[in-house]
Amino acid sequence: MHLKNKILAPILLLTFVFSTFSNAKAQDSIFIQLKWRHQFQFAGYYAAVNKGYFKELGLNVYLREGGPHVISVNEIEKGRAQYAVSSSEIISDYISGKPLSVITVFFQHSPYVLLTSSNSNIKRPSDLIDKRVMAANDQGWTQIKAVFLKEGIDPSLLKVQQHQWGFKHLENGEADAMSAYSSFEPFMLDKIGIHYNIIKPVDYGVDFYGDLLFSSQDYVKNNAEEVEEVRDALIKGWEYAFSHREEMANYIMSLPGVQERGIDKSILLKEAEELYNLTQPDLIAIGHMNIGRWQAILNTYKELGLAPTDITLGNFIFTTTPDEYRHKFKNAFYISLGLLISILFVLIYNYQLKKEVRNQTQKIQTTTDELMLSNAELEKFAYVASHNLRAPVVNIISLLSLYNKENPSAKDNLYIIDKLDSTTKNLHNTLKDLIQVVSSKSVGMDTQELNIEQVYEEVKESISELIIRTETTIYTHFEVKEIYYSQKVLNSIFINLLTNSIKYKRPETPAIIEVSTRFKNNKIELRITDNGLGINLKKHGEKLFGLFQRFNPNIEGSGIGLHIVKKQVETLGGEIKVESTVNVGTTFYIYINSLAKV
Amino acid sequence: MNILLIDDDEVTNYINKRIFCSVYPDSNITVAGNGSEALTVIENNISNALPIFDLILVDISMPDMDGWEFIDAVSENKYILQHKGFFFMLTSSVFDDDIIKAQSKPFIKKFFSKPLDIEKIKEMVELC
Repeated sequence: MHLKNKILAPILLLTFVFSTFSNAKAQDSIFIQLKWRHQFQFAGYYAAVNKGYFKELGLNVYLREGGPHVISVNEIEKGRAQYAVSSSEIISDYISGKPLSVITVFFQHSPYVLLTSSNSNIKRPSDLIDKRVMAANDQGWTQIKAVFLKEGIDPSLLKVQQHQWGFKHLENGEADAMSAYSSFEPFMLDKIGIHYNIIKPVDYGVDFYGDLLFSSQDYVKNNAEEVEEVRDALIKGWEYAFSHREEMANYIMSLPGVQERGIDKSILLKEAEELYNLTQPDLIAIGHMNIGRWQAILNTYKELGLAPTDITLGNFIFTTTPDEYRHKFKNAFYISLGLLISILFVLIYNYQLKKEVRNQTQKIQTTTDELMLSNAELEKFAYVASHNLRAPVVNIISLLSLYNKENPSAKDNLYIIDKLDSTTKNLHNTLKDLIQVVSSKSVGMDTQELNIEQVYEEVKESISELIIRTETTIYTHFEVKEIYYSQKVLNSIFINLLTNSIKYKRPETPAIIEVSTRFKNNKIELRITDNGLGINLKKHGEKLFGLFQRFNPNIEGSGIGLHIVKKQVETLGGEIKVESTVNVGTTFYIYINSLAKV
Repeated sequence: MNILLIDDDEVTNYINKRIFCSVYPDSNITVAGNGSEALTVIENNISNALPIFDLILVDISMPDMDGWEFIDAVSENKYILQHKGFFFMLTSSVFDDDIIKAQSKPFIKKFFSKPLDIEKIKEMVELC
């Protein structure tokens, strides 16, 4: 025995060393805790196992069935599973201090809904006050609570009772509502012939993610490569499952407990269809998650007082290293392995590598932030632009349908033609404005040495007729005159702000405008003050610089001037601020980065 | 039938009036150019005990007080809420975000995208 051990020990050690280097993963079994009992909800997981997507990466993955008494977070915390499936509500566990990390999201929208029996006549959240609701903390309760809070209903007005996970409580009136998955329970109720109403959180402005894969932050940090492999295999699994629904349904029917629950193949196929709709693979790559949406979910928690206001997403979201970057990393690893002889060398190398990783990460982060910002801006632009284009087009269609073809000289026809004319011109102007806005983003190519006073005088000359007609007085005081800046932008600032001051003057008071420049905190401050109508900034402040935002229904305007000025000034690294008092006047301050030679 | 159109676009109001009159020739149509004008009109109707509006059609994008601000102002105004007619959104928007937002406002009966037509009017009347 003793001798045997002596011989075996080095062999074992060798095997261990060998296997650690050659195929570390094959050593360990990986457990994925499913969220619920076997059904189509996990088809992508079965497919990844059955089709060998894990095996081909050398991963030994086992799936563990869930159920009413299995709580995914506990399984991760206790180390009984390395990965687990849950809904976006695990963010509440993260908020309560559990170091969890979301790896990937499969269902882009949450399937959680409230089912109520149809004879109870409960159709909207307010109908549930004082009614009995079956719910469970880890099963959609926060989303449902969010709906009530958003509707201004105190959730303590509901009688919440422990979820019994069957339909008889709803059927025999022991409960008035229950939380459920839109992809499953409704089809089961259809089958047994119980009528129901559905209350969907998304209809009340609560749109959370659905099923997702998560793990502990420690595990994710220490096994980043494996985590990515598991994720990618599952993405392949879901792609396979959605395109082979019959095959997957047949397989699921063969799993234990499925037929016993009264599930049949047609229910699984309906479940597949609903899950496909929630996953939206035509629009969004399977497994994609968006940090902006997580931020929105966290904000909902904060707004509802379910999370402290200072908490951030931190390490909650697992982020991918880009492929090319991963290769770089891999190569670096082998190189340093080769250079193991010189410990010093490796130390220096590692130090530089770390520095590079840090720099690169920072760069990626900055780019992501910038992209997110310009994305949000583009979305807003698309919204406003399409709205302002659609409105006149719709009017043209309606006017044409009202045109009396039988009797072209009908009195109404004259009016219609007149309106067609003005609407078409309006459409044309909107298009022109939009083109101007789009091109305003590419300013800055014409930066040159300019004399501010000279540019001002030219602009003033171009609107001299307006100035004389409205008896406007303009005082100037240019402490700074020489500037290195874009002529186009400076023109645009003067034109837009001066004409605004004249346009929005008080009816009986001639406009008095003061234009001045000076140095302030290393920047050039260009100030334009008027004695006009002023703007209620408390009410309109946020929208003041918005595209097509208009505040005075009595004065003609397109609502793009200030938007363009702000865009142009900011593109050149400057800033625009406004102070205003209603019926006293408005001051615009433009801060230009000091490119100036005095 | 008493109808209030809230829209800043003169042409839209003309079109909508004509379409309403083609279905309900006796309808009595009032126009408000933005949210705050509409609030004044409704309050005036209530305080002078004039017939309440059966249908109120609200546009989103308007100067001064837009459709959403108007809806929020109405929902905070208990005085108006007691006498409310039926509110519908009628806007140029076809965006999901707006549709979902409208669904989250309890007393907006339904969201309609322009153009208004006879079918939509019939649907509105049926919903009342």
